[in-house]
Amino acid sequence: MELIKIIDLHASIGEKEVIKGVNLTVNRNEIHAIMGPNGAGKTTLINVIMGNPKYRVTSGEILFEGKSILNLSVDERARLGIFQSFQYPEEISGVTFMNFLRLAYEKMHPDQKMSVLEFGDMMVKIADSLKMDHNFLKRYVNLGFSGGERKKSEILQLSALNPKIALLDETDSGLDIDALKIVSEGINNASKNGMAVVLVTHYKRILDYVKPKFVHIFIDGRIVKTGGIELAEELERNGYEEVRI
Amino acid sequence: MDMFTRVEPKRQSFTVKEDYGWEDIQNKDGSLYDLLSDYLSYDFPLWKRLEFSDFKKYPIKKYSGNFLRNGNLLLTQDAMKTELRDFTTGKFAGVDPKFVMMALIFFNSGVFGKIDKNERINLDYDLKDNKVVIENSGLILEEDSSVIMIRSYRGEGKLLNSASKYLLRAGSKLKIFNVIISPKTDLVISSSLYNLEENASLEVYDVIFGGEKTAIDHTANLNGDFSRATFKTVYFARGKERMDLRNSLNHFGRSTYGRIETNGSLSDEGYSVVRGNIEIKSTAVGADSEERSNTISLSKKARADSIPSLYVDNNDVIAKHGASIGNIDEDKLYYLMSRGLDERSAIRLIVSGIFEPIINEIPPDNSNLKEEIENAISVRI
Amino acid sequence: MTNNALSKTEPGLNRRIIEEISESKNEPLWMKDIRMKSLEYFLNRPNPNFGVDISALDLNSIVNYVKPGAQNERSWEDVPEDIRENFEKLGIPQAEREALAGVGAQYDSEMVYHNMKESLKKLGVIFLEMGTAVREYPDLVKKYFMHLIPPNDHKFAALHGAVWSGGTFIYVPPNVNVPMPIQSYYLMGSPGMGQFEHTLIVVDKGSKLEFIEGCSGQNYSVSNLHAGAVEIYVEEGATVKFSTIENWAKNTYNLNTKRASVDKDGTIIWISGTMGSAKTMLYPSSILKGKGARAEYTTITYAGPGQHLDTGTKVFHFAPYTSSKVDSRSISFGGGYAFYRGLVRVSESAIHSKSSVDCSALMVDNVSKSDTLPIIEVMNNQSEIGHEAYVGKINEDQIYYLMSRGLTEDDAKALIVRGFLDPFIKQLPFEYAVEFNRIIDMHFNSKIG
Repeated sequence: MELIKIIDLHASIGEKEVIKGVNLTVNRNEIHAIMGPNGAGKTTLINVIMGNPKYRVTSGEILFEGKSILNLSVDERARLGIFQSFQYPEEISGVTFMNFLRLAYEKMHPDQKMSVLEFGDMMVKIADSLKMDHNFLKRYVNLGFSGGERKKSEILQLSALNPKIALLDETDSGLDIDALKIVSEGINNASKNGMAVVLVTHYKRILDYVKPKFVHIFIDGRIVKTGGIELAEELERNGYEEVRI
Repeated sequence: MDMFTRVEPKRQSFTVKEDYGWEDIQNKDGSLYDLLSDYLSYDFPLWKRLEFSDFKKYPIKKYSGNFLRNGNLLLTQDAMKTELRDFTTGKFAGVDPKFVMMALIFFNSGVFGKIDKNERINLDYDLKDNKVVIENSGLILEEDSSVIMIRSYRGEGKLLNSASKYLLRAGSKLKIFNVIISPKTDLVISSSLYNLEENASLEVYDVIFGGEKTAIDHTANLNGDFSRATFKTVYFARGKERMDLRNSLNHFGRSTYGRIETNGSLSDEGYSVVRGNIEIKSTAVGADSEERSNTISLSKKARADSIPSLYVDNNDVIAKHGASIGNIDEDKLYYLMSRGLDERSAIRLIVSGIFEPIINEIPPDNSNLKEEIENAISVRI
Repeated sequence: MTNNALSKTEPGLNRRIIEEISESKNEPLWMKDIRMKSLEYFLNRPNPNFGVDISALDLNSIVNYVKPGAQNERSWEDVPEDIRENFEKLGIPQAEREALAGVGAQYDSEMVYHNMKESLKKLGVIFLEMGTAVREYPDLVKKYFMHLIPPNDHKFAALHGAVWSGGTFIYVPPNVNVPMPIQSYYLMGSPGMGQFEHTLIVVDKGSKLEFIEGCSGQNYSVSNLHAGAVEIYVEEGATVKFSTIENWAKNTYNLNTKRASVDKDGTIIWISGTMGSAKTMLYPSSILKGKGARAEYTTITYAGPGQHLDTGTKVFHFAPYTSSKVDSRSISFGGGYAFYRGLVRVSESAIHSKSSVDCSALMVDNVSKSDTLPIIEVMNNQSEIGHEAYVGKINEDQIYYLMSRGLTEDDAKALIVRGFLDPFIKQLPFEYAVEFNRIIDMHFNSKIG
């Protein structure tokens, strides 16, 4: 089933075009990797799908479950089930993770009534699976987190909010191998119940743990080549220059 | 929209037995007559923190010697005969309107000019021989011009009162150094006003070893979009010297940038008041303004006041300030002494460190001035 | 006192009105003298030369004394229903049962309820309506009353001295730890009146007290005036935590004075929230007079449409090894105007003192105003004094981040504002914190709950 369909998408920041005609279809359950050099616009693509007001879509279409989402605000897209993980998540002083997540969960799943205790139990379980200290839930959102903690906190939010598609931005960068395994497991677990994943990454490393069905090479604002996992391997051997043609 | 009024203390003043009058004007000119009656209608400002409550009328004489060392400028009395005339008599608030008007009327020195290219200006005022120096100066920087001005006031005198104003047209750049080394001078007053058009850029560096009572005011109006102003002041007060140093930034234009940095040191019963005012008007969308001050107090009896203010009418801004007042950093002192320096040398080194960044900025062909600043630090510690 | 019953004074102020108030309270002569002297100061003093514009406040039309239709009772059942209802709505009787050691409740110019747990009485704690304390403990009261805030301090301290009525007196004897907070609540129910309650707290050596003060009122089209006075004496080694929520109605001029003197090794903790009133001038002051005395502040000012709130903190370091720490925050929105005015003065003798002041101001929109003026005066070189301030808007990236998790923009803003105010909110008693969050939600059209 078609979850998200991007058709000839163009987007600009200010006067500058940064997304230059992207076509991409992601079905339920599928894992897609988007690979490309720094500054190619991978993160921008995620922001545009999510509806970051810094970027302006100039032409093209994004359909989610068959309907255009271009006129929806970021929170409306989130409530449809689109999740963006951030490379550098914001620090928000004075707001505990627990309160924040409970609120977000209620917004995403208004029909599921959970008591504070039940929700707390669920969070503790997720935190355990990510080998995170429970105290983390009492801490302020991302405040003073280490690089690894930030990545885990993003995956914890992913697991808790249970979206239909996850747009993951460089989730592997800066993680040691143990942390990488834990985070990958988190992603894999979340995708078991049908969640699709778009994984933006610079390196192949994480693809040893999260297996994509498709690999897209993204250069200068567009997808230049699509293939299977073998494309990532080719990339590792030859670099982006070779793939360009 | 409901507009609120901020209530502020009124100006306090005192009267003197003897004030300057028509006979004290060095360059008598009919246009000064109205200004004089305005001047006489004002009493002197009463300054609590400076303990300024009495003004001694020292005789004003013709300036002896030559203060203009370098630069294509007119002496103020000559400029008054040109199209610059209205500019020479233009009033502003400065330290206090009374003192600004005094300078405009009774000046015995000063220069005016319109600059349309790159210019280097050197002004050296001698307080030792002249005792009373009253300066009225002003510059108009035409579009895209660039000026470096080095101005010094040196020696033991009685009174220094300077008023100067600067119009920075679009894209012009002004870099100005003011060095005041005027020990035992009764009263040292300096007022400067800067009006900046779009993309104009201003850097002001003040080195102040003041008189017995010193009051300095620099006010920049960032009128044009993208205009920038930086004030950097370093000072030292010793004995019973009191100084009141004020830097003000008024942001009117969009994306204007301002910095105020005031660092100094105190010994004996020295007393410094460091004021920094940042006003960001509702039109100044995207303004970025910050103020810092740091005072190292070397003596138990020294006193340091810090009065920073932020007035913000617009939420699309960055506005910050920070201040610290304390003794010399014990760890730094220990470190230097562990390398063999005696305590006095170590302190001198640390205090020199406050001045160093500004001395470094002074163009290299002013080695005398640099040396004099270094000496001034040495004799004070 | 029934034979001298006074229900309400005529508007304005003169000697006869003061005499009436004093006589109706059966006061000793010395208190009447204070009132008379205060009246003189008041008539001779100009308005403050800083702060908010009060030129529109007509002091001659303010009714300075309004007696509620009730006596000072020790049981809520005896408080008339219409007045009791107001306090029920605020959750005061319930909070008293659950978490408070004592409660006072003032309506207009007099206390209508005052009660304390028996166990505290046995420890020698005195908790009385201020007027009653004047009659029952004249020597103790006389020793402290308006010594920290002398009537000639400023115009509204003088007004307070002349017409004060109601308020709370607390004395905690040495080495008593009052286990639960004591709370007084002040309600203004009549239009065009002035409320002038006096709070006098003396906490003796080594003792501990937490006091909570709540203030609110009904909104009228005419101006109301609040000019209370709080005097706190923290003796050697004692600790006092004084929490306030001032949520006066939007027609109120709140010109209030609060001061604490702190002796050797004592601590004063101010938790202060100013959110109501049309105009406020309030600067809780700490006079650190004993070696090692400490002051801590967590304050917020919350200025919305039609509000000009000029608030701040003042700390006087008069002894060695004293320390102060200020965390002051403000929010301005909808055209509101928040002004922080601070003073830290470190005297020559206050060597080895420390002070840090942090001010931050969040401006929610482009029509509001936020000003900061923190003055530091340091008269010795063996102290460490620092100050930081920041003014800015809500970070757009934070809003985006929260919205990407499904929160609406309004909810995201409300959550960020709550987070910004968290250091204050988490210090509040539960019912106040809930109320506070509710107010933030309301202002930001949020339904976070």
